[in-house]
Amino acid sequence: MLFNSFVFAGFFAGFLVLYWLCRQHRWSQTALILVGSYIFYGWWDERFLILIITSTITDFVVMLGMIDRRLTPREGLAFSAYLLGSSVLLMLPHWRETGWALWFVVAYLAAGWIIYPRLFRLQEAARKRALLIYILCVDLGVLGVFKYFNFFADSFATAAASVGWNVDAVTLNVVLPVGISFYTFQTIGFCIDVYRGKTRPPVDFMRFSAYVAFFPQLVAGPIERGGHLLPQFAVPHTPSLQGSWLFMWGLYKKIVIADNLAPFVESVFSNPGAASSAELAAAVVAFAFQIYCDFSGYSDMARGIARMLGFDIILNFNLPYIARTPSEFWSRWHISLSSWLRDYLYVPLGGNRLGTLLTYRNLMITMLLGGLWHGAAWTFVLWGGFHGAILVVYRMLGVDEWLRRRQGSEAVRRLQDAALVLLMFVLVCVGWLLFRARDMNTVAAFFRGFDGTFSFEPFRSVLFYVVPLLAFEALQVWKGKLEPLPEIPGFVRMNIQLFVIFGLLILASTKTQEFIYFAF
Amino acid sequence: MRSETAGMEYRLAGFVRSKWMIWLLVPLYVLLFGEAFVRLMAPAPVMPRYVTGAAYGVRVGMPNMKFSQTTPETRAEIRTNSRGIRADREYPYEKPAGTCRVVLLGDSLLVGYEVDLEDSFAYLLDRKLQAAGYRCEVINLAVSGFGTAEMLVALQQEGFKYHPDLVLFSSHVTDLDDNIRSSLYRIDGTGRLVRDQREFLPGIGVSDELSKYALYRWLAESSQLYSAIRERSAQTIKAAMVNIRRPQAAVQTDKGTGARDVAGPASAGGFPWMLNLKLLEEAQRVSESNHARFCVLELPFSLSRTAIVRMLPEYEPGEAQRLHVFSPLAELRAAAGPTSKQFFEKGHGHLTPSGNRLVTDYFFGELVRAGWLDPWKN
Repeated sequence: MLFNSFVFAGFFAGFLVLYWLCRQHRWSQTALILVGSYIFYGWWDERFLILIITSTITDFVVMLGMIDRRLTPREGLAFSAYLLGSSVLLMLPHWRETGWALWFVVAYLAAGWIIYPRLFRLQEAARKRALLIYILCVDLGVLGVFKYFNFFADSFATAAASVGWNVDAVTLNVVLPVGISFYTFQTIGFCIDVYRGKTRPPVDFMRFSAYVAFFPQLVAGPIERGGHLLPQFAVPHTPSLQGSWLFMWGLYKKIVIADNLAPFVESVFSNPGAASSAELAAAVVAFAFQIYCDFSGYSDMARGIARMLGFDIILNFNLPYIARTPSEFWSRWHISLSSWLRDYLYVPLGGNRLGTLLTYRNLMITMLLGGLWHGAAWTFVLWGGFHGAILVVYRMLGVDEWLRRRQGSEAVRRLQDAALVLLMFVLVCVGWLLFRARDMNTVAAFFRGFDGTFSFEPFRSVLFYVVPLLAFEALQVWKGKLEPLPEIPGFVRMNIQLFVIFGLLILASTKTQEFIYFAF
Repeated sequence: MRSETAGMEYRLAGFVRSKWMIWLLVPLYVLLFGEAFVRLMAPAPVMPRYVTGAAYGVRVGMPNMKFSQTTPETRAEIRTNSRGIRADREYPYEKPAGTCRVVLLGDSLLVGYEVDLEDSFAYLLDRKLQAAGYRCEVINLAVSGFGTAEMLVALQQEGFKYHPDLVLFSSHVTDLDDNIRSSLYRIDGTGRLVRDQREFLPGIGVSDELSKYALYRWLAESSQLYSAIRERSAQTIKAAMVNIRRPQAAVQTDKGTGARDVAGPASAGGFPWMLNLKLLEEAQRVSESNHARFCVLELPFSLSRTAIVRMLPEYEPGEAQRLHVFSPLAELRAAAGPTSKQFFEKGHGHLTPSGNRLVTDYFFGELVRAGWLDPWKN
């Protein structure tokens, strides 16, 4: 179900009514969120719910194990029956094609019944470590199979062929379940926090299930932290219209800006050889705003919907294109992922505590894996590597340090900031070229095509959609708030809101595009 | 006296500040804002289309109307006669002796939307035939929004009353969805074309009622905001209706043919194209049984000024000849160029005056070559 669809509008309207009816009852409200989230997700393909249910049960049981809470055989049977029963039920409509997959569920349960009691024979520290390794293997294993198997099999076959060794790549043609990277990282993060003792494990299974599947942010984040979102399920909420503006602004960014820029971007990237130098440049700039509005639009909608339900979801974007340095950019772009990578990858690798060279190594590893998180393609790895490299270069040059210590007048500092923002935007655009290109030939075609000639014409339609966004972001910067509307006079506020409403009515793209980050 | 004036001023100021005034002013401001927004950000073509319901269950032009269509590129005047036909004269059902009649059925492309009557295909063809010495009348029964199914109904119920000697159906990519949406015909289990719904008059009740009011007509002919919202809503509703009715219609066909693949027999076009072909064949059959020749004029689609495409699926071998299909695609493509505009670009993509002239010249040439109208040549 897409947020920008009539199906979702109908679903959410019905959901809100039921949610309001349950406003006094925490349990029924949580149950409603869980059922609603499963319907929302199952709308794409109900079979993939089995993965979510499996992940939910496994993470829950493992986290309890980490605090020495062992399941009774009865509880174990109940969880097994729940997983097996729901799997059978969800497979029924597709019994002939994919019924065989149930054997994996049976085998997984059997393995669980064998391994689980043995884990409790270990000492507490060893058991906690074993449980962590177990959950990492399961979660990353599922992610690996569904997201990266084809990529590595094909890449291995290609590499082998280049040295004259013909290997038949075993490609399963695995379909990528929507949002798998997001909810997998969310549950892994929670498990690691429990392992580190930073967060208490969940004690209510239904509440934890609702947390994992919470539909506003299930398929494209923000990647939530257990300590932030889960406690919010402990109290009933009264739905409100708070958040509706955030939703509308996110919808505007998605269907007015991103979806209208998409056809131009696609036309140039699908045939860069036929485009002029100015068109190539305009397409890269257009993609920079397309992906920003697509993803931050989704995040705004997710946060808006959650707020209407009384929940607070963490911020995912904070004006990333006014970043002056790469480290600033990553503290403003996809904040929930970059902070995840920082806390669960960069810091465990040693962060910046092990000396200069190892810091650079850690930065590169983190960014390369961050690139790979986005998708199974070498262009994503290259994109991650590029960002890792510019992080290293800026660090070598000490730009962040210089920004903190620099002297001079306000005007000079502002000029310096503007120059740095512009340079950073150009670098980010180079990164987006690598990110959007279908393959390295496309990248090469772009670089061949930049011949220095320039015309304003291709930028005209890009600016038409982008200028209102920039104007609103200027207001956000001026007021120093991401939600500046309450700060401004009512009449101006009304005009901004009318602009967005009429933009949605008149300028929205007639062709619905999926969210780019659904593929990650 | 002074205190009376002061009292009135006080009451007026009170009214201005009252919630009643706010209820009045805010919606007015919102509408004005919307109108300004559309005009500045996305100038919309203002294209009222006054159609009403005919007794035989499909749409027909509203009789005796005079209105204009304005787009960022052009302005055209539309006049209809007492039977809702876009023409500057009346046509009696009885055919004048020794005269040939050509009846046209199609959608807004053939009505000649976005161009004046004098630049429309029907008018140009009529004048061209007469100038060449043919005793012919071209009667344009095309109605905006028509698909082939509605053309067939209109032909049988109205077109034959004019005793045509030649019937021309336009064929355009939109017909395929229009036929599904109207549900006037379906293909039964044995593969035969059968009548389904008795009528298809979408939104006619509402538009008939609204058209009585001068305020509505002014809005429809002046407001870009109204036009833009109306057009987007219509597109959304049309798409939804096709999505709902396409599987139903395909399943009905499917039961009989036993073919699960509805994109099947009529190759790339699948079920919608199959239905369209059956409708054209039926139109040809009924025309011939009414002693009229039948032909099809394919009108292409413009992706850009230089990219003019057919968009319709391919005919089976011999099918196009059997149906007498004429296509001015090559002529339009040959004339296409960066400075030559055959289709409007900022309106609804109808043929420009030069596009209409090109199609008319082509079709006239084909008619002369076929010699169908030779018996009526002076």
